[in-house]
Amino acid sequence: MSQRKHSALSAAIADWSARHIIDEGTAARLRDDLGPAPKGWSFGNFLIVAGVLALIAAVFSFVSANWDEMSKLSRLILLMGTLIALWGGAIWSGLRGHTYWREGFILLACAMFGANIMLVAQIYHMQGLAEDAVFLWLIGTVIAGALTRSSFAATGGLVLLYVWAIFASANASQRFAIDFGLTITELVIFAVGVAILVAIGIWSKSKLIWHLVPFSLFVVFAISRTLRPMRVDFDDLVKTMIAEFFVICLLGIILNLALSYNSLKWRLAGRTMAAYLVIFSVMCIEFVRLPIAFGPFGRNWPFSILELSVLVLVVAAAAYFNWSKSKARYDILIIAGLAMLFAIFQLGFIERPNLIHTIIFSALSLGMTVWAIRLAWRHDLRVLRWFGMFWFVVVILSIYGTTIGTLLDAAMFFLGAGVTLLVSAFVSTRIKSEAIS
Amino acid sequence: MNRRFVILGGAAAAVLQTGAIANMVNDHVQMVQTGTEVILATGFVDPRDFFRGHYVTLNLRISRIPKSSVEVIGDIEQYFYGSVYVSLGAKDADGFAVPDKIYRDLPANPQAPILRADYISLMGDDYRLHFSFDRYFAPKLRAEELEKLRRERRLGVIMSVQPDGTGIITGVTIDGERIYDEPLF
Repeated sequence: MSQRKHSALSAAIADWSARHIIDEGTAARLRDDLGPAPKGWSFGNFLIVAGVLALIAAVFSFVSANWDEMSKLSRLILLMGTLIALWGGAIWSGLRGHTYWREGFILLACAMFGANIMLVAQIYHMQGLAEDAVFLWLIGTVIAGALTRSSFAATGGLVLLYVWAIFASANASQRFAIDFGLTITELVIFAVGVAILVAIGIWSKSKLIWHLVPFSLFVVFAISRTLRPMRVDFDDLVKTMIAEFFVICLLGIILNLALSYNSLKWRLAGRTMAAYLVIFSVMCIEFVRLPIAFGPFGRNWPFSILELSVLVLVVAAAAYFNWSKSKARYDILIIAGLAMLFAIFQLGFIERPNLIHTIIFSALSLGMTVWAIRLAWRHDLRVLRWFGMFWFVVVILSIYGTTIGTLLDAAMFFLGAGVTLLVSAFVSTRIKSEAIS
Repeated sequence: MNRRFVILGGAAAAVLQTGAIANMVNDHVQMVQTGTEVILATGFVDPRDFFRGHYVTLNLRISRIPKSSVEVIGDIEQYFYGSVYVSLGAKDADGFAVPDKIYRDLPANPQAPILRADYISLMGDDYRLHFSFDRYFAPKLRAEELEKLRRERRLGVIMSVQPDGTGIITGVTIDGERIYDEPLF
């Protein structure tokens, strides 16, 4: 039973008992049947995962940077030593009962396994197709997930399966005159892969993997829609997939709003609407950041400013009208204020952004995403919570993508972000433990 | 989750992943040590790999072979999307290996080193071949240095060629001199 359902049932039993609908004995028996509250995801758990993701990005940035000062043997020892140390961390945290730290270490070890494959290929000039390297990475991650019953490894494996499918389709369309991006064999591998990973996900009681499974259909849909015979521009493919994904998300949001419009629970509808507006606001900030990170402004930036300003005002209005009696209005106003600050920066002060500006904007974008997730946790807004976690990964990846060329700086940024998030998680756990004791 | 599962599962995953990486390195070392060395004429262009960092693309001279300069053994269509095998039985005046035959299937007892190409197409009077070894990974500065080398310099890539046609890059030559010789460790 989820934490949410447990909480709702507990509240109902308390209410019935208070109104004398059931007697105290019945209430006690019902509470016994319900059992203790399950441990759900907390904001601290998110900080751990986010910190590990930032460290993964740091590892990738660092290892992609030039490190030719070391001998090949030293590089190999460093790579394999780090991999073994991460698995050691997973075993150690597992034995101490720290579930999320264990999962984080396993995810980091699987990411390091992928980095090792790419770097050994670089060190020894090993050639071949990127899809083959990703496939080896996928196999290693899937087996590790099965051996450790890891929810995160299973979810990471599913993401790798998507990456493999995209690489395979891009390569196949370049080499063979076919309309569909994947061959029948590759489609079968894809379907079997999804089935195996979902089975591991069920075994490891992963809820995360279920949120990704519908995305499998999207991956196949996007590949089949966008590839042309003989030749495909990989950048165009990625851009089209992202655009299609946002169109699908937008449709979902509009549909959800339309459905909640006629709902009798107006208060809930207002909260949902405000949550979606926060989502839009945070997304727009990233869309503003991207042209800045890419250098001189492109043609789209005035529209980004307009869009951002309108959305910030709407979020502020939503905060005032819907949540005027709620503590959440402060959170929303902080997000709106930061967004406005962001827009002012872009409008007034920066024509040709340098590294410092890029770092400031990246930190702001990441910070606001974390703040939106905190807001979601405080007010139990599931949609905003899942979006926030997904968007955090998008922001991390986009920062990595836009800082290629200054990889060491990107590695340092991610290292700093990862360490800060993990220290925050550690401190918040300690504060919570002391408050309880 | 019991302690035994945590320890055994984690250790097994660590051994499996580390073993896979060690196997990659071991296979490569074995192939370099047992292969036949050839030097191929090439040019360089500097792009960047999303996963693996900077490299120079090898613009191999043997990727474009005049139809009249080679003997084709076996049936090869205009666009053939399967492996073909190039025999490097000759050398030019600069000492670079030059193809003399193209085989549809791997020959049993070749007289010269054989390189496998992924696919072949006939464009005009030339055969165009695609090889899986098309990049030389180098730090950013070295990649830029190689890219800037003028066209009149004689650039070569040193390969270790296996009996099955697999080629592994082991170094670079400029004007016949070995500039970068890749150590195994």
